[in-house]
Amino acid sequence: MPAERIVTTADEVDAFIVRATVEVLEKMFFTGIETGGKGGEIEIESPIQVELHFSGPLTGTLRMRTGEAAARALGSTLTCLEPDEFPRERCIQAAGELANMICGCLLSHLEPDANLALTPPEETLDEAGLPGSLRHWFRLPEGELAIEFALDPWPSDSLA
Amino acid sequence: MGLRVLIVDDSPLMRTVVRRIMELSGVDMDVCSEASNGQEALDWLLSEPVDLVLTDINMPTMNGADLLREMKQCGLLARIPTLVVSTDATDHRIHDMIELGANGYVTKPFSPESLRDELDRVLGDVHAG
Repeated sequence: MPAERIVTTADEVDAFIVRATVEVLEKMFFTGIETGGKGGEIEIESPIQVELHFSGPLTGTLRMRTGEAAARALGSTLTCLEPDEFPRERCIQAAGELANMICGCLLSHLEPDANLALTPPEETLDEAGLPGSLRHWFRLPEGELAIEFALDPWPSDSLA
Repeated sequence: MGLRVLIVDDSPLMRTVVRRIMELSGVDMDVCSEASNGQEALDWLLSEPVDLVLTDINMPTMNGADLLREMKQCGLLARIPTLVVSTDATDHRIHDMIELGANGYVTKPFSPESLRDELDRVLGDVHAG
């Protein structure tokens, strides 16, 4: 019998976005993070935007946007390499790994028993937001980080 | 004598991270090799001695599940301890990978201590068994 979905509202999904993002950044990137708030648009200098898709009992997309400087600092912390060893291409990889971990962590909170497939994270230049997405942004020491999360479709019986 | 380790992940960044964390955790490694997918790993395992495999699941060409399946079918390779390192923390996936022959499973994000603890458990179980 499939496990009961434990999330019932968009607010709860948002809380899981915060929980997953904080957990990944603190545990793996040793970085303090403050939640900035829900929704809205934030200006990010020299942005890097990556996204990945998931499918299974839940289908959707997680998109993450941060600045090149923040991605460089995070990548440097993660690998113990010097920041000057992180050209933009490697910053994109670091952002992709961060997004991958946040998405995996988030989905495991949302659907602990589900068999979900994730695509590899890829850079996207799409400036339009994901339709119907939840958005949350955070403050890092080196800049901002924004998460967009969309389910396709949103489960009509639970999330509003 | 140190371990001969093979790290399998399609992300060069994550291979670096796993290697660094193993070094920071004090794992005694003689050789630390890398492969970017299951097929590359299999080719390496068939040509070089390896004491421990750490593998991701989602990879192009051959994923981690198929790598474990292939290793299980090949007598000598089936004895090599394997530790899965993945973002997928679902019970379903962990169960599947253990069924396929993985000796341990660490979910990303992980702390250096948790990786070290799981490595100690996996290698301890193998040596005890």
